[in-house]
Amino acid sequence: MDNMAIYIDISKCTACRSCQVACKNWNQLKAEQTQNRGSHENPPDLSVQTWNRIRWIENHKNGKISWTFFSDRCRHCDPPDCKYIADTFVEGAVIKDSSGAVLFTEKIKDIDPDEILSACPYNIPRFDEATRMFFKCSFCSDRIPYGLPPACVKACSTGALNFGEKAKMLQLARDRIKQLANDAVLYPGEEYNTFWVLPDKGLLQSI
Amino acid sequence: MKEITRREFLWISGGTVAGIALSGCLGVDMQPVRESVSGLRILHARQTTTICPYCSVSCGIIVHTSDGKVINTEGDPDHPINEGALCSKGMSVYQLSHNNINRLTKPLYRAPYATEWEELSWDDALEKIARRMKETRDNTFEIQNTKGEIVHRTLGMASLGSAAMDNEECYLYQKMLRSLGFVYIEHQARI
Amino acid sequence: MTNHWIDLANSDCILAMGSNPVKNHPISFKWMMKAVDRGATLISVDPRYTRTSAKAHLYAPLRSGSDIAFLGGMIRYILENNLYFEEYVREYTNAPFLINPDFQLTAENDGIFSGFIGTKTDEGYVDGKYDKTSWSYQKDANGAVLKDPTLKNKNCVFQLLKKHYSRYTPEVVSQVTGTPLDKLMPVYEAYSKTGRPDKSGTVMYAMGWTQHTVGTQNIRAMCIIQLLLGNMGMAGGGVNALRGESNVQGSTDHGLLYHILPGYLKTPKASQQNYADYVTASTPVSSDPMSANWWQNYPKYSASLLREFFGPEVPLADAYTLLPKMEDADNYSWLMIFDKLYQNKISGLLAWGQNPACSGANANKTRQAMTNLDWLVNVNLFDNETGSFWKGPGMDPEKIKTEVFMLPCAVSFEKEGSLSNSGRWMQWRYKASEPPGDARSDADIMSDLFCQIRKLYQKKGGAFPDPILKLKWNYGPEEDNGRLRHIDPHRVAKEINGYFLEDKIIGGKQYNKGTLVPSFLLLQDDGSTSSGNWLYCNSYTEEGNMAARRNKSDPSRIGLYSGWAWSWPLNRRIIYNRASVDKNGKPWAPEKPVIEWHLNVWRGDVPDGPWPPLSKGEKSRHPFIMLPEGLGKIFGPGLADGPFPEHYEPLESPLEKNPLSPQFVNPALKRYDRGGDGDQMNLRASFNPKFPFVCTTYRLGEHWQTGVMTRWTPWLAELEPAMFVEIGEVLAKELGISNGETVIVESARGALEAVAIVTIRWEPFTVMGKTIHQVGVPWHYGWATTAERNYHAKDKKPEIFTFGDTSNLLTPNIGDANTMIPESKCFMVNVKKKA
Repeated sequence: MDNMAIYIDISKCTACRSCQVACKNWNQLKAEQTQNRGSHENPPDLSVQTWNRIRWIENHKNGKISWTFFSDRCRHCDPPDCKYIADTFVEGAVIKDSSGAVLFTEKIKDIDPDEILSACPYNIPRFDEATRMFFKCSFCSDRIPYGLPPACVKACSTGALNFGEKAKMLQLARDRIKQLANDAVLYPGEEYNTFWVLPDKGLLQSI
Repeated sequence: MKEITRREFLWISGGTVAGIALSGCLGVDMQPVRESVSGLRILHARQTTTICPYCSVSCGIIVHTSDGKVINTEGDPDHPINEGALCSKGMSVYQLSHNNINRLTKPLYRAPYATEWEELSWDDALEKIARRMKETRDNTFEIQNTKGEIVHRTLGMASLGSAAMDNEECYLYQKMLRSLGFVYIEHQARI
Repeated sequence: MTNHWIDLANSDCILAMGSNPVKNHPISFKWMMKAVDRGATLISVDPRYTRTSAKAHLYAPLRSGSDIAFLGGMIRYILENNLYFEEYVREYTNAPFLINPDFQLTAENDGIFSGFIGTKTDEGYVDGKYDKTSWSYQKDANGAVLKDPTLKNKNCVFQLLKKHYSRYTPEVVSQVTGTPLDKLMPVYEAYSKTGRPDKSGTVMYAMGWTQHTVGTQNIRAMCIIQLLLGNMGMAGGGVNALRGESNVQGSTDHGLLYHILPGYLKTPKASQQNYADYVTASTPVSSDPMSANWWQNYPKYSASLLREFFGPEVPLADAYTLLPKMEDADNYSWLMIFDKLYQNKISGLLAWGQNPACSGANANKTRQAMTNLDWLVNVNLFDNETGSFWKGPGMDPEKIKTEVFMLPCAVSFEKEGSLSNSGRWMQWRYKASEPPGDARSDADIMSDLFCQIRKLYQKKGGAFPDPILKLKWNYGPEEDNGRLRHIDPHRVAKEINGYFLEDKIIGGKQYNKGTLVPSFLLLQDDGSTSSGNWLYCNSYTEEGNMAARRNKSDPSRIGLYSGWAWSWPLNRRIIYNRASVDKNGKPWAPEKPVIEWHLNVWRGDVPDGPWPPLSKGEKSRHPFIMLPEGLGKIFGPGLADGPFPEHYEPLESPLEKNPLSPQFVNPALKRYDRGGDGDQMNLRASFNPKFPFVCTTYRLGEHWQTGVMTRWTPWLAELEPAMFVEIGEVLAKELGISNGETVIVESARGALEAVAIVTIRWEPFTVMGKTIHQVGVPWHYGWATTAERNYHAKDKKPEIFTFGDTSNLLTPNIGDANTMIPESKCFMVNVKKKA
């Protein structure tokens, strides 16, 4: 089960948010007390208890409304900047698992949290004062060895979330980009174990 | 890359370290590639199929239990409608089980003009309710209407509910109500 | 649903109107997408741009309450452009039938159909009902209906339809609905393409159509379109109600409504004093030998039901007298219950698995009415606004006399039993864990309660105890105290299916006493069979529990999955499927055949009866077997408010006049607002500057109904924690309201606080040259899970608080003329900044 990937096709996402709940369910994460802030988007940010979050993007372009939904989470970079930085302090604090997952180990407690926070170009890891640990998407790396896809992928009904060998996922993404034509792009790129197809490159400004 | 133990691995992922091994019935056609020290928490769980209690699409759900406790719920991949997927509500039924500390667990009674609940045993609760219902029925039962037609009914009591019950319960419920002479029988379909 | 969820994938055009399936039935979208992948067009018609709209090829906005104008325009478009499926319309519908020459359309008769009995006031005709004498078919001396197969006679249904909708031109429709012409016409064009014999279109509707004073007629308008285009009975076709609750189909099938007994048998009326009268009045007759007229079997089903209720010892005629009778002309529906309760005429209420304090329209009236109760029993999983009404906002517990019992029940996977989904699939589910604490299954609670009441009557007697004492209640092992140890759901399911009560030879075959009846075709009218619900006869047979089947093979190739669970009736997956084939039994759409006449037998889905195709002459039967005509009703005289749908304005409208008619609102409504000035609980405000904005209500994907289950589910409360009002950018700017600000939404009946969501997805409408703004509120909230309320020591306190109360504080208690479902989808409000 080496070099796997989560491929997210935004054009198929309906913001049902089953992936958000599936993540909390499988990983036994707590709910947060939220407020409605003039949006359906909640919780307001990734957190120690929220590792995957749908962002809701309304657009008005050429007299046409569009509404797109972006599942924000760890990109599982390959290679990961967080690991590069962490390695300079403590070897093994961040590992890149053979499945493709970027995982933080207990040793990360020995590193100044600001170093880790500033290392991530996507502002993903969240620091927990109580445990001195970082939390983020784990790729459901406890499920993968048992032939189970990540909980979010399994919960997805529309085909927006996909999981499999990275080469295969990339091929699916490239085919989809061709099919969508126009301005569809791969985000952030190929050097990741989680990547997205955005139906419109204009969305890059919103994420 | 430095080897880490599975224990660290799982702890890091924030999951509960418990349970073990494979859940072949989840129907995903990938084979396990390696054993782990800590394993999968639903591995030895008992699996029970159920149908989602929310909307009427009626997706299949698997409830994982261990020692009688619900430890996980997820979509039933063998179900032809949802094929393992669920929506946010379907995905959350874990929190409807005993895992939710706010479930009602005792019959509660509020006396006239009282400001608080008190707990009752089932026997006390049902006996009290039965007496109230009998009293109302006896006081309001109509053998005949104003035209002298036999009507055998009570308009002194009404029932609302419920589309959230199983078919067998719905059947029993209406049967009971009609034997008592209820005419005001309504439920969610009317609203 | 005439069809089922997976069948959506077979459609060529899906119209989501009066529903928002992506949000409220999320997994349905999986099958809608499969259709789109095959090339289908997806259309979303909704007052606001929804998540369904976001995925649709075509989106058309319309003002709430103008659906009939929109659909009437489509009927006209189909007829004017000859896009209807001519052979289907001629052979399978009542389009050729000649109607009584005395019948008058609304345009000829002051905005109402002929036969109106009621009063005319300054607001038009009110409080009326129709004498339907003129809504009749012309018949010959033998009682056979006169027809014109050329569809040209001016009195034939087809010509009347054409005439009625000739007024619904695109320009007029656009003026009424506020749908711009360039958005309206593409919808008409795309949907009408399904009139091709090999194409099918389907409609997905929900409360967006039913919760109107013209709710039934909204659906009727679409039924007419489906018949004109030949979409009924087809794979990927049908009229599909997306039911909102997991078992609202089953609970309706089993008669949890005042007007029906299980299996849609009729509640006895006072004028039907004996069983023979009841059966005669309930059994339709048809003079057409080609009509199956399925309800002619009524006496078999009613006799079997009485046998299940009271057993073979009670003669049928006696059993019938044990049942309660309703007054012929009276209505006992939800709004009436709360009106009577408000008038202090009801003393006890069972709110079993329901939260009427939030779910009933005009919640202030509902809640006030509840204070008149002597006793209330509330069975639920969680604390809720009904069980705790006595300590809700504005209530003084020390002045409320009501005794309340709140009983804890089991959740779906803490018991065993079946439920029936929107597509009529009856599925069995199992028990995974015990309920927490002393919580018990609904079945066990009601069984103990019934046995307790029966014991009291046995010991002490009382008013007419016979039905209670004679009721058969043998669904589990009995204890010495007369109670059942527990209800065995299998026993109940078997009784619902039914038994042979005697040895019987039918059609040369022997059936033994005590065995399960294999199909409702074998139920008898002489009392020799029992069946709690004839529609479910075939669901639990000597071969086993059909609902528990998990065979995934699909030889149909159109996703029928006939070996998975069971579907009523008789495991038929698509009903009216005889309409999917031509006279020779060949499928109209050979690529997606539902049934096919092959080597003198039907293959495919379970056909609507065994008869050969129509080309076989008298041995055959017309396709619409449940109707006495045997044909689809384009002219529908069964409705209370007209045989054709007509646009009437909602009871609360932004307009002064109905642009399409001199009659403003549906004249056949039961009105509560005409009680006089002193009536503060039934107020109405139409075309009133104090309430200038149209308001509608809707659901959220993350919550369910009044939110009792979902507000107490932390992961869901987190996602949508608060009551909000969605306001278009233009209106928000006019009102000086900014995004995220707490505002007040108020109607003539009540007010609530909500968080403003300012959005581009609500655009203003131009209606009759005037700008009309519409706003929308969800309805799942309630005070019981808020942070602001008082929590006593014994009260449960949610892990995640929600904000706000139910939108039913705003909605009007006025119901549809046929169903009495309240007009929750369209009423007038004001929105203002919180002081």
